[in-house]
Amino acid sequence: MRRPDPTNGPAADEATDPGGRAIRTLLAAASEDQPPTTDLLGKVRHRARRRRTLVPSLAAVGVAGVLAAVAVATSTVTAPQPASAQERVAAAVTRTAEDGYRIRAAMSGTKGGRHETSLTQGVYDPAGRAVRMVVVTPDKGHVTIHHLDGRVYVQLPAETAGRQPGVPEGARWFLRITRDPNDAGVSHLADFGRRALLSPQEALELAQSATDVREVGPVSGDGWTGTRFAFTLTDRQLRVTGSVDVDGDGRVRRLEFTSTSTDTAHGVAGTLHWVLTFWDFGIRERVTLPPDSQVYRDPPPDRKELAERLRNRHR
Amino acid sequence: MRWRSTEGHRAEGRQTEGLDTEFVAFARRRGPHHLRTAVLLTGDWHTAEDLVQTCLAKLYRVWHRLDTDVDPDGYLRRMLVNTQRSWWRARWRQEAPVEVVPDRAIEADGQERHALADTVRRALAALPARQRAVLVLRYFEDLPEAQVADLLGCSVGTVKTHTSRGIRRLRELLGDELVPAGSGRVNDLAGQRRDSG
Repeated sequence: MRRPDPTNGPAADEATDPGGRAIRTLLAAASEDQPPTTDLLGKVRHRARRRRTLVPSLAAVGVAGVLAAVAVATSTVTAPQPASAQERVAAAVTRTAEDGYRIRAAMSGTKGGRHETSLTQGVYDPAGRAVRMVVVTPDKGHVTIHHLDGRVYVQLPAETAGRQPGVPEGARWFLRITRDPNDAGVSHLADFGRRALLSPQEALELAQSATDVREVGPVSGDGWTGTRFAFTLTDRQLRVTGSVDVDGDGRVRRLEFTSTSTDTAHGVAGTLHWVLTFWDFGIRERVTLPPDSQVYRDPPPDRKELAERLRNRHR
Repeated sequence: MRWRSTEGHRAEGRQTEGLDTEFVAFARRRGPHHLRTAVLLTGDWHTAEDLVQTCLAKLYRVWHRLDTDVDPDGYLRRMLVNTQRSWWRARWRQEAPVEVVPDRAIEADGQERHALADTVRRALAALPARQRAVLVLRYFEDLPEAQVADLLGCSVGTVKTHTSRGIRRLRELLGDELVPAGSGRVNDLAGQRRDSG
């Protein structure tokens, strides 16, 4: 009998390499926790939109040349066309990320059948796109969070630091949670509020991805005037509606939104109302990593236990 | 890849959501699979989604110039591998994803599935990029060694070596329970022959 050639494909490989099945099972399991809500066409749409606006713009260049000549000849000036609401919000988001600022976030509502409120205040450091926040909750007191490099460090409360089972005595920070709750199967939008806390820029960028941004009208705050834009984001189980206030300097001053989730499977069904306020633009406060020696990381899961789960899963 | 000649190109016609209908259908049908490949290559869903989105956007740019007999699946896969490699080389995404203690509210099965997937992805992320790519293409995409070699621009022998070493390293990282001895047996032998040669 002719020996199967392993260079000829998976079927032949199965015949000569039955152990390869274990690797296949492992790799399949490693990609099984796919988030339920992903928009793989996001960049395609974005570029297609840009192309649609760019092509006419380029075509208009020739026309503009003629118009400019006419304008010079007749000494008239044509005002530029205003950008769309979405473009103006996008520009504001980019502009806001350039400088440091202070932020305050107030949240209230119901999630998973529980009433929740929190007040958070912090500072954004543009150098590392990092945020330091202090969360004040009625039942848990003050919690300091550093979010940088896609990591979230939670400062352990002084009364429990070093006293929790399994946590080293010197630990003062807990490396935890996620810039991406999707990893755990929760809707991208469902975590819009927490994103807003941990990374206001991410929340703003998410808001800017809304397709139905529209201008509401003039708005003013303490020492600034600007324009309010409304937006809506939806996925299968969540709807976020809100507004973004952009000041005269093109910076985001306020982000207000209500997120309504019907996702009972993950215990996040409910409605939360958030108001994020941005001020003190230009401040310079560095947000840095906590000392590594003080950071506690969860131990990795037990391998034997995982192997057993894997066997059960694919039995 | 062959570019559009005088005939056989994809017709520019119907649109869905402002995009070519045929392209949208392809992306919806095959996108989730490529996203899974991408997460194995990159290590986290966030970057994987970014990678697939980027490659789909590149594919869309050339969609109407591709001959109809060009397999867009293979073309997209090649872009994923090359783009991921260039990102990795640029080192602007060199941070390994740091996980994540799931929310307490997340159901038990979700935590279990996540823990398992996360553990394997971390181990994959610890492999050199080439070894990781070879294992993913060989065992997740189920491509023949010759095709993997073509995709990565190396010889079949090199693919065998990377496979062998990659599996060995995975076993070191994950233990015999998850990667039983004998996995990738032929490739082990091939790799050992090459190693000793």
